[in-house]
Amino acid sequence: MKPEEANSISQCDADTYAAKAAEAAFILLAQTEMQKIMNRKGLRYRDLARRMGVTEARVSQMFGDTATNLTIKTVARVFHQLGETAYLTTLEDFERQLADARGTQAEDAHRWTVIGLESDNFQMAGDVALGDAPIVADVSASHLSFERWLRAKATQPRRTAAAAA
Amino acid sequence: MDADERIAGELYEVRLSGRRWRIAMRNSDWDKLNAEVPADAHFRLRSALDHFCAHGGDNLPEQLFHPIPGAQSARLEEFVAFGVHVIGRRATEDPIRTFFVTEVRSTAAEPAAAAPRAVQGDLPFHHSHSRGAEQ
Repeated sequence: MKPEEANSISQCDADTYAAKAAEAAFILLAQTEMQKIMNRKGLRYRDLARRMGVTEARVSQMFGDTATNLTIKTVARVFHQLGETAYLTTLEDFERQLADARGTQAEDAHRWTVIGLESDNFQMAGDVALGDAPIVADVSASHLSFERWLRAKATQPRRTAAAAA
Repeated sequence: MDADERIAGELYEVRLSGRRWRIAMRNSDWDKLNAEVPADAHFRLRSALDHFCAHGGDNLPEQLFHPIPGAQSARLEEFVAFGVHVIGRRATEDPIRTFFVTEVRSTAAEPAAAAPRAVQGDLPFHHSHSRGAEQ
C-alpha cells in the first residue's frame, strides 16, 4: 500500500509506516527550526507575514498539521526573510561534520600544548580551555548556527595567540 | 476515553523518552494513540512527542502544543493534531522530568471543545513547567 492510501495505522505495513513517520518528522523539523528562529528573534506569525507579504493565516497554515503550503521554496524564503539561510543535509553527513569538528579541536589543543611548553614567555589567556573539555552541541541547531559555532571555535584560540605573541 | 471507561488500577508507564523529557501514559491511552486515531494524527503526534522528549516544547508550533486555557486542573497542556488531543501535565521527579498524559481524545467525537475534565487527582510531584525556560 502506498503511504497516501493508508488512513489508519492498522493499514500500514512496516515500509509505509517508516515512510509516513519520516514525512511527519521532517515537516515538524522544518516547522520547529523556523519557530526556533522566530522565538530567538522575538517574532510572531504576523511579523513573518508582513515580511513575506502574505496573510497571517497563510503563515499559520505553514505551521499547521498539514502544512500543505510549506514547499521547499517557501522554507527557503521564510529562512531568508528571517535573516538566515536554510541548509539541507543528511543526518549522517551532519554527524560526520560534528565528528570532524571534534577532531579538529583535539588537534588544535595538542598544538597549543606544544607551543605553551616551548615558550617560557608564553602566557595562556585565562579564557582558553585546553585538553579534553567536552564539546556540547545541540544536533538540532540550524546548520548555519553550527557553522558559526565551528568558525568561532576555530578562530578563538588563534586570536588569543596573536595577542599573546 | 472517558474516565469511567478506564480500567481500574491502570498504571502509568514510560512510553517515550529522550534527552530532556519522558512521556508516561496508561496502556489504554497508548493503545488509543497507536491504533485508534487516524494515521495522519498518529504520525503528527508521534513526531511531536518524540521532538518534545528530545528538545522540549519551546519550539513546537503553538497550534501543535499549548497550555489549555481555563483548565480546571492547573497547568494542563495538550498536543493537538487533526482533531486528536493528547492532554497531560508536566511534572518533575528530578533528575528526570516526565510529562504525564492524562487523556487522549478526539474532538471529532466530542464536538463541544470544553475545557477537559481532569481524570485523576494531582500527581505526587511538583509542577516544573515554565515555557521558554528550557533552553
